[in-house]
Amino acid sequence: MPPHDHHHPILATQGLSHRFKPSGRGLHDITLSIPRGQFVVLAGPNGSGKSTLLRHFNGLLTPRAGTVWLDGVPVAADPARARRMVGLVFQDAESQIVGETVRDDIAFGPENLCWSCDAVDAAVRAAMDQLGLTHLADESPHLLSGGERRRLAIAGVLAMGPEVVMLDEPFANLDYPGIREVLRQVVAMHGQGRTILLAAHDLEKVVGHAQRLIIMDKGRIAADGPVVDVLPLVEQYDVRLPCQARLGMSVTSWLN
Amino acid sequence: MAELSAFGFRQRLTVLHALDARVKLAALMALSTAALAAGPTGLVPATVLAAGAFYQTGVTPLRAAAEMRYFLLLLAMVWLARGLSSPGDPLITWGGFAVTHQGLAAGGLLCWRWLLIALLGLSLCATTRSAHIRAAVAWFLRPLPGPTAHQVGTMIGLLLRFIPVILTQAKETTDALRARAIKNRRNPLRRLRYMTLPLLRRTFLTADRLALAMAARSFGDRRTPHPWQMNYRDWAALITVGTVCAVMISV
Ligand SMILES: Nc1ncnc2c1ncn2[C@@H]1O[C@H](COP(=O)(O)OP(=O)(O)OP(=O)(O)O)[C@@H](O)[C@H]1O
Ligand SMILES: [Mg+2]
Repeated sequence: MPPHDHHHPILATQGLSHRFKPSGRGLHDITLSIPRGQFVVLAGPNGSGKSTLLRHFNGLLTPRAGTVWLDGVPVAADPARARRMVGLVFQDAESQIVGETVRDDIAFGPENLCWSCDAVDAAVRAAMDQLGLTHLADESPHLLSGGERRRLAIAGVLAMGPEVVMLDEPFANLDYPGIREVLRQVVAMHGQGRTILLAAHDLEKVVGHAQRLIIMDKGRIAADGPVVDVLPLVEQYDVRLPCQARLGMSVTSWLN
Repeated sequence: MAELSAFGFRQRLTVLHALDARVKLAALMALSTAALAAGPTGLVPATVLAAGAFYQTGVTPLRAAAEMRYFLLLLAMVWLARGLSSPGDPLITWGGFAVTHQGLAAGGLLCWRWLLIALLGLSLCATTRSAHIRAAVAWFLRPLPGPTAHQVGTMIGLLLRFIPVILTQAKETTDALRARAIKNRRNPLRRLRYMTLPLLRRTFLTADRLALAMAARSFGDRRTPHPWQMNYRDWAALITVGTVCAVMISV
């Protein structure tokens, strides 16, 4: 990773608004700042704007008003840099797979960055190793299980060496072992010093590891702060409170 | 989950898998062209070559026939039509129609050629990663000005990536409609509408999502160039195919 200027938050937005044409829904006046290395959970009901917000952070969408900064540089000024620094694992893992084999798919991003063949190869190996996909290298992605496919999607992003990893509903459609496997990878990426932004409806699986919880509602930030402070507020925004929190206990990790 | 077609790429350890994609593509083009010009004797060596290639895909003949059933049906119809429509010595007659010797021979030759070309093409697809096919096409189009070659290569790559997805979605849509008793609808236009509209919608949605996911992974005009490497096997294959083509045209 390149040397950083530690004065800037890694991600920041000021008055970010976005409107989708027909419905008029989108994001309204989002201002937030995320320091480097933080593990942030973005929660909110369906249609609250979580995915839309994530897409502004890597320049897939451009704001109608306001600015998004990535390490002090506006995303709109250099979307290519944003895509290199901010990896996004999509909600639907199936539609982000482009390669015929696991190895090809992971190589897609690094090849787009025009790395040398050796660098691509090294990045692919490292990503397969970290995500436990090495034994599936020549397998077709369509033959993988749901959990393996989600890990492949993460590996494809990780191979590009992003500083920020955003995951949109990474636990959707996974069974218990699948959830634990993906969660373990997310925690490991955070342990490597990466900033993590994770969008989810169901907080139970993940808040035990997160440092900050942002609740979105109808395209606005409804609550934002340390997990312990925000957790008691979630039910008024249609997000289910984890059972343990309901019983007044702290939420334990799903990894134990 | 997408169902794999028998001729989708599958990693195996064979000579055909290991060959340079440019060699395979050039061989396909040369053999197909020669097959269109060759007579029955000339088709024999090409057929041996195609059978060898097909064997290396690891697809069983039965599975291949099932996969190609519509194509085979079409060929059978072409054969019959040729047999019926060509003048010559009648073999079977009924009513005013006659199947002629000459017609059957001409139709048989035609079908043989197309079957050969189809087998070669499918063998190429089953043994070559689409990324490599794409790179090979771009390599052949290098003389074209600007980024055209790269763009054409990308289009081909996406098409290859997409066809199985669309087929799977078509099957899912039909199954879902069957589950809701679409068979009870008499009007074929209605049935077609219920089938096509959701499929088109899903196809566009998938395309949209895929384009977004590719953009998120920095897809652009430039990529790491493909590391081409020709070894003795590739040259041997080229020489073999060249010889076969020469034989096909000259006998
Ligand atoms: N491409 C689009 N065109 C029009 N409207 C859109 C588009 N994408 C999203 N929207 C609308 O914007 C709003 C926010 O959508 P978004 O996908 O960001 O929500 P979300 O919080 O991710 O929801 P979910 O939990 O269902 O994924 C929704 O009302 C949605 O209908
Ligand atoms: Mg979403």
